[in-house]
Formats: sequence, structure tokens, C-alpha cells
Amino acid sequence: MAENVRIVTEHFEHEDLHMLEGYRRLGGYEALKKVLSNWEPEAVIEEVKKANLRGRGGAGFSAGLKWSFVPKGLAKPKYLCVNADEGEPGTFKDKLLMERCPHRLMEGIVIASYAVGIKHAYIYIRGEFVTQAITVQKAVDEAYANNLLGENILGSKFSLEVTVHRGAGAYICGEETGLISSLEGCKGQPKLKPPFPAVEGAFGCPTVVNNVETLCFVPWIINRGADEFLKYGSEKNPGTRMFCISGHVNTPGVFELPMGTPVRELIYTYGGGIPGDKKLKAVIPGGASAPWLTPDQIDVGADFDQLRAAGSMGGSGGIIVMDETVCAVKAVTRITKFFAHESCGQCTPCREGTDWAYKIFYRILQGKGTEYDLKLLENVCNGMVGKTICVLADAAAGPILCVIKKFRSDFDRYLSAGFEPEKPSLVDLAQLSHGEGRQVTEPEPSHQQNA
Amino acid sequence: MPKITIDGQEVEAEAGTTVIRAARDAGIHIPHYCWHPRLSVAGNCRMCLVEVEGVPKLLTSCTTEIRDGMVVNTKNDTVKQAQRGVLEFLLLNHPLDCPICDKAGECKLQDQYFKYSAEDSRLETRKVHKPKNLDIGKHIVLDQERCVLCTRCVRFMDEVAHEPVLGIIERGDTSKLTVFPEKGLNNRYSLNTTDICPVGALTSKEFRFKKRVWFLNHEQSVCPNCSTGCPVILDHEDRKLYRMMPGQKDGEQAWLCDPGRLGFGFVHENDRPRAPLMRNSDGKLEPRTWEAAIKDVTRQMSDFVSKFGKNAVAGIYSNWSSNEEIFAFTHLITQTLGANLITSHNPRIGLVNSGPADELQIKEDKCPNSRGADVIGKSRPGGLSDFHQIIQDAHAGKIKAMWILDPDFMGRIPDKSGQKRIREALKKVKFLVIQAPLEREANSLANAILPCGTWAESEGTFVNEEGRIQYFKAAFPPVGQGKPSLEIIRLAATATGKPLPYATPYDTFRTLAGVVPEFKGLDYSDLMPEGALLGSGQTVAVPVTESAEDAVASPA
Repeated sequence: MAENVRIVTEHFEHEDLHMLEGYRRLGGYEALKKVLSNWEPEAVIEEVKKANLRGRGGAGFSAGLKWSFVPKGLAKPKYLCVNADEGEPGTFKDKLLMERCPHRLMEGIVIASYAVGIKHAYIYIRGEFVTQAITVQKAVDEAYANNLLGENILGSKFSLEVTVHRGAGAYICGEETGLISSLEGCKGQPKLKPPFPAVEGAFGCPTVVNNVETLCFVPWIINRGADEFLKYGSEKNPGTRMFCISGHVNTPGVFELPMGTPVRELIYTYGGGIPGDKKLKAVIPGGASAPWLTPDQIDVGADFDQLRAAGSMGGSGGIIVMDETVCAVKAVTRITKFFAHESCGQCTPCREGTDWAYKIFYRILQGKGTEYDLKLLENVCNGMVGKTICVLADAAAGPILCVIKKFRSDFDRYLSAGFEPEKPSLVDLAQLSHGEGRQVTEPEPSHQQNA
Repeated sequence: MPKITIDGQEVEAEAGTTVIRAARDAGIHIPHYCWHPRLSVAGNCRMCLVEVEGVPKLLTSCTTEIRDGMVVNTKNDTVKQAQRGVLEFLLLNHPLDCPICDKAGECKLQDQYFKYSAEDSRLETRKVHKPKNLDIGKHIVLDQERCVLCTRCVRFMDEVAHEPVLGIIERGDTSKLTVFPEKGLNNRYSLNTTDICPVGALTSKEFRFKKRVWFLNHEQSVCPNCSTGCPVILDHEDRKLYRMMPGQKDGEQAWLCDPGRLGFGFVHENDRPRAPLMRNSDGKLEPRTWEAAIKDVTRQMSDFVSKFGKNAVAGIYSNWSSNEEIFAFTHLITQTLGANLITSHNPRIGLVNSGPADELQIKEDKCPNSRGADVIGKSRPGGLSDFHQIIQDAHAGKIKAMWILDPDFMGRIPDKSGQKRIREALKKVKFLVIQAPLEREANSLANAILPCGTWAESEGTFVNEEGRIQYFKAAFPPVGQGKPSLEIIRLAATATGKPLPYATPYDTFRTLAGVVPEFKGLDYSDLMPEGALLGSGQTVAVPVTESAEDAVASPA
């Protein structure tokens, strides 16, 4: 296997890669030319299918397969939604791809749209990504100005409109149907599936939702061929992916590495090891939703299938490293708070369960918890897992169940008789905006006498 | 049709049916909050989770379509545990102010918690509080704490009322139902949201704190306030009507318009006549016993017929009379008293104005039985006398005695000049009998006032605009000494020595059905639960061998 092949970060050392001129000079838009001049759309789908390009947003579903689910010969328009709502805690790769090489994304968008027969693509970009949205918009403008978007792209019969749409700051809009709801102008809430977006998505029309990173792989696969792509990565997980290494490591950052790179290497080789040579306590291998790995598990290869087998998930590639000083209870409390804040509130178990779990953790951290609270937390989590429209509830419950199981002893301190809560604690500070003492709308005086 | 097994019971349903609907049709109840048979599917409450064999996760039965051979469990331990879990979540931040909640007693959260969980709360921290007692519309109060965020009301306003003014704002457990800024929930169908609200989040201002619902008695009835004739339930206690609730239409709970369902205030007007009144020699109305009043009225009417002839005495019923009353009254006037003139007063004005007609339910004709009055009138050989001719004749002094069955004979005349003309005509009538439940202008001209029941105090049938004959029951007896109209008519006939050959509304309807072709073959049992269309009782065309006139004269 070749060392450190770079696909989506290819030429990142070039300062002008984000400009059309730079990208073109370094071979950009060649794949698009090739496709538009002599590839049938089906051939593009077949090639991407053959490359087994798996979605880098989190689910790891085959992109080519997703494209092939879109019904053919319908009178309705079809849409591509580019999921640039990168919000998974510990993940910051799409941000980089959009900053450094927006034209690679653009090229991927045009090729994917050509393959599926899409005439309008939306880039749904996270609200907080202001500069990235500007960069992407500039790239879109450049592409329009140079016949890479718009009518009859590169003189072909294919035309495509691209719209950059900024989100308003909701994690749940990174869920594909939540994204579609938001794009449609509705409240960002996931929709019931079926119908799946490929059949009935944005504005009731067949829709493909692809992650930024996923689409950035497409030009390379076209240029070099699926067989070349298959040479990298691990079994059934070909190619590379962007690993975002953060937390207690010496050299945090984004690394494009072959799929299946062992977690140990991610921490100690690419992450540069743990500062002060402290011991590893836990690592989250796929963003905050992923259950944690313990030090004995880190020889697992970081790909979708191996991490799943290890009881976690590949997710969005966010590797969060925690050293021995970390209190698992506090850490998972912070994660739980995040999910309670981001629950869209649609499904009962998630709406009520995420915040309840946070309140229980808060009580524990206050030294008011009991042994029974752990049982209760498990109950609450089991009441959420698999019982909601989208998987946010599962994402919230996974880390909690994992911590109770794997870091049970971290609770002891808080449950012991003489425990005095530290002040001000992380959690106390957090109270200012959310949770137990969170802002509640008190009834106005006139409302108090009646029910 | 696909066959599936639910809890061991084989169930067959159309392809595309959801599990919850198929189960319901088979009599298996799957608990739910957000699902409503007449609204789109939201799938958010997660209460209707069931186990489908071969599927690892529980599925919401409201979103899962049946597949042939599917095996569904709605009662096993996994499902029960999930149900308990969802109920615990729903109750977690619920204020539990049931003692002062109008919904208590008919609240799905209460009922289903009791049935499917009944466990103690395990929440040991403060609940999330939200605003209560919010005035969001003409008739609606919102309590955001009680709301389970099922979005039934939101979908109702979008999909049925077509005035989307409700929505859920914020997220997580601070999500709240609200009305859009600058808007109010003032649609004419707004109170339906209180019916479909599974909890006490949306309640009616009119019913607010009026009654604990478990004290209410329920009577099947028909809304009298337009010719749609929506099925309603009269909720009453101790001779007081508290509210009109939707009955069943096409097998589901009906929608009602607000003005219709709230339009029962006339039943409890303070000045309703409470005893028969007769004008004394000084021209003042004086109370009489029923016996005396009926005797006097029938004697005088008979005298006018014999003195001035059949065409000097007229009977007028209205589109507020029941079919039974119309039929018996016609008999009384034409057969028993022997008068010639019988007609119907059918303006489109009712006792309550629900406003312009719309495409949903509200009709232009605000009267409950225009169709019945019309059909029964037309079935008479030679039809009815002309209403305007009678008024003209009265004006000319040709009508000496008149008996009117109408709750507001003059108030329902559309224009002032028409009212004036009628007033003058009635003044010329020597002996005017007003049989009415309410104190209205026409009463002041009467020589006799016979206080009868409103529709809520009477039993009978109305025919709505689509031709559906619908049964309504008396919720309680008429106020004071008042009697149901049919009873008064019966007493009058008896007083002449020629009693009617039928006594109860049931008998009257059967006799009517033997005479009026559109009603043929029907009795009250055919009208349950949702009425029967005119003509639907005729399985074979029965040749009419005797004239309807004869039949009325000698009913079987």
C-alpha cells in the first residue's frame, strides 16, 4: 500500500489552490472534461459504485449506490444537496476542504449531478462557516463565469445551477432529511423515512444528499479509475479519509490517511502522542456520537466496519483523544449537554430523554447522585435507542451507555458520601445557558392565578 | 388484499394501509398521540411502537404499511417497555395540573398512562416550565406545559382549515406550540383543535372551568345551526347544556364549526316561555294549565273552521320542526281540525348566524330541516299551500285562525319590510297560536303561546342538505312546564276526541315512513349511528296503491 496517498487534499501545499486558476493549473476540472466529453451518466455511477466510495459524512453508505436509487425517467426535477453542515463535535474536515479547494468540491458536484441527471444542486453550508461560505460562493461565481456551471457546461449539453444556502446553526440539519427540511424553509427537523430522499426529498423531488468530502473524491476516481482507488484503504473501505485528530495530542489537525489506519497510529504517529506522555484514557473514534474506545481497543483499524465491530463507529472521522486526567463522567456530561441542546424536539424520547439524562448527570456531579441514577440513566438511554425518527437519540445514548459500562469507577467519587462538588465547575458554568437552571420562561403574573 | 397477523389475530386490509389503522379496524387498540385518522402522519410521539417479526427495531405502527404475511406484536414485553418509556418521557415535564385541567377525564395522557404504565415518576429535578394560560384566539386558550407536541392541531390548521397559523418553535424540551406572530387562532373551525388535542394544551374558553367532564351526560344529536347537520354529542348535566362535541361522521370523529357548536345559547335564554299562555279578556297573556290551554286552543280552531270554512284556518310549520312534528302537525291541522291550509316557513335564516358558506362544512342555509320540510310537504297530494298566499290572505283578513310552529317566526324573515308585512298580516288574524320554545316578537301577537322544547329537548329527526335523515335525542325536558312539540300536537288531537294513531317519535316516524316515499322502509334503527339517506330504505319499489292522503287519514 502506498504511503500517505492524498486524494482530497492533493496539492494542498499550493497557496492558490482555492482559486480556479490554481486548481486548473494543477489538473483541476480534467475529470469533468473527460466525463462531459465521452462518458455516459450510467458509466459514472458504475465507476463510483465500483470504487465503493462510502459516504464520509457518517453513515458510510455507498455513494454510487445512493445515486443509482434515484428513479430514472421522472418528469420531476432532481436535486443534489451537498451536506456542508459539518457539526459533529470533533469534526473539522469539510471546513478545510471548502477553504482550501472549493473547486474540487465543485467538480465533484458537477460530475455527480451529471451522473444522476440533476439540474440544480444546493450547497447547504453550516451557518457558523461564514468565511467558508464566502470562499465557496466565490468558487461558484468563478465556475459560472468560466462555463463550469450554468448553461451547457464546457460546451456540452449538460447544464447545472448551484446555489449556496447557509444554515442557521442547528446540528440536526446535518442529518440528511433535517437538512432538506431546513433547505425547504421549514423547521430543521428530520422527516419520516420512507420515503427516502432518493425517491422524495427536497421539495418533494428525488434528491441525493452527499457529504462534502465524499464528493471531493469523485474527480480523482474519474481521473485515475476505481481500480486505483480500491488499492488504498482496508477491506470494503477503500480509499482514504480525513481524520480530524483533536484533544490530548501533541499535533492535532486534519490528516488524510488510508481507511483502516489503526487508531493507535492516529494518536501516536499522526497526533504526535499524548502531551506529557500521560496515559491514554479513552478515544472517541468518529465524532461525539461514537461510543468511546478504551486503550486496549486502539489497535482497531479506523474504518466503518472495524469500528462497528469494536462497538463504536467510524462516523465523521473525528478522533477525540482523552488522557488519564479526564473524568469520564464530566466528559460525557458535556457531550450529553450538547445533544440535549441539539435535539430537534420532534420525537418524545429524544426531546425529553436527552435533557433528562443531562439533569441526572448534573445531579451526580453535584454529589447528589445515587447508585440508582446509573440504572436510571441506562433506562433513559434504552428508552431512546432505536425509538426515534432519526439517530440523534441513539447518538446521545451511545456514549452514556458506553461510559457507564467502561468507566463505572469514575462515578464512585461523586457517589461517595463525603463528596464536595468543585466550584466553579465546568458544569456550573454551563448552567448559565442550559440545563437544570437553564433559562425558563416564567409565567407572567397575570398567568399565575389560572391553569 | 394483504393478510397480516396482529397479536395472533389474522387481519386483512387494503394494500397501503398502515398497521395502526389495520389494527384499529380489527378492534385492536394501539396507543398513540400524534396519529389521527383524518390527518397526515407525523410519527413524532413514538407511542405506537410495535414489534414486527424479523425487524430488529420497533416500528411506529402509524408509519408502517402492512405487507402480506407480516406478524405484528403490540402487547409483548419489548413493546410494553417501550410504551412505558414513552409515557414516562411524556409525563416528565408535564405539569400534572389535572385537578384544574378541563381535559381531565378525557385526557389521553391520563388514560394511557393509567392503562399502559401507572408507574411512579423518577424525575427528581425541576421540571421545564413553559407559559400557561395563553390567549391565542377567540375561543382558545393554550397551555404550553401540558402540550405533548404531537402537532395534531398544527396539521389540522394546515390540512383541514387551510389557515396555517400554528407551529412548534424552539427545540429540544423547550419546544413550544405557538400561534404565528401577528396571527390568532381565529379560524371558524378553531375549536376542533381542542377536540383533537390529546391533552389539555388547547382548551375552549367557553367551556373553561365550567364542569368536570365526568359529570356530563352525553346525548346523540345533530347540530341545528346549518343545513349540513353535523353529528354532535350534547354534553349536559342537570338540565343544562355545557357544550356540543363532535359525533361520528364516516366512522370518525366529525369536524364542527365554532359558531355551530357554540350556538346553543338560546336553549338557556332566561325569558323562555315556561307555561302555556292565553290572552284574557283584557288582552293580557295569562298562564294556563296545559289541559285548559289545549282545550281552549283546539275548540277555537275548530270553531273557526266550522264558522269560516276550511280556507280560513292555516297551519304553518318550519324548517326548524322535526320530520315527526311536521308530519303530526300536518295531520292535526288538516285531518283532525279539518283545515285546508298547511304550509312551511323555510327561510335560510336560523337562530344562529355562522357566517358565509364555505367549502368545508358551513352552509348558506342555517336551518336544520329545510330538506325534510320540503320533502314531507311535497309528498302531500297537491303539495302545500303557498306561504306567501297565506300571508296575503291573512293581510286581506281572509285567514281567521293560524297555528305557527316556528322558534322565531318573524326574526327569521330576512328584511324589515317583510317583517312589517308579516306583523300586519298576523295582527289581522283573529286567533293566533304560536307554538315556540323562545320568547320572540311573534309571541307578542299571539292569542295563545304553547311553550315547546328546543331541539335539545326533543326527540326526532332532521334531514340535512345532502338528504341524510339523522336522529337526535332529547337531552333533558323543556324548561318549565314546556313540552316537546310532538307531545303538544298529540295532546291537541286527543282533546278534539280524535287522537293521533301514534304517540312516540318512533311511532310517528314509522307512520311517516309508511306514507312519504323518500322515508319508506326506514325506522330509527336504520338511522344509527350516522343516519340514512333519503330513499335508501326502499329496497324494492313499492307501488303506491292508495293515495298518501288516505294513508294519513288511516295510518296502519
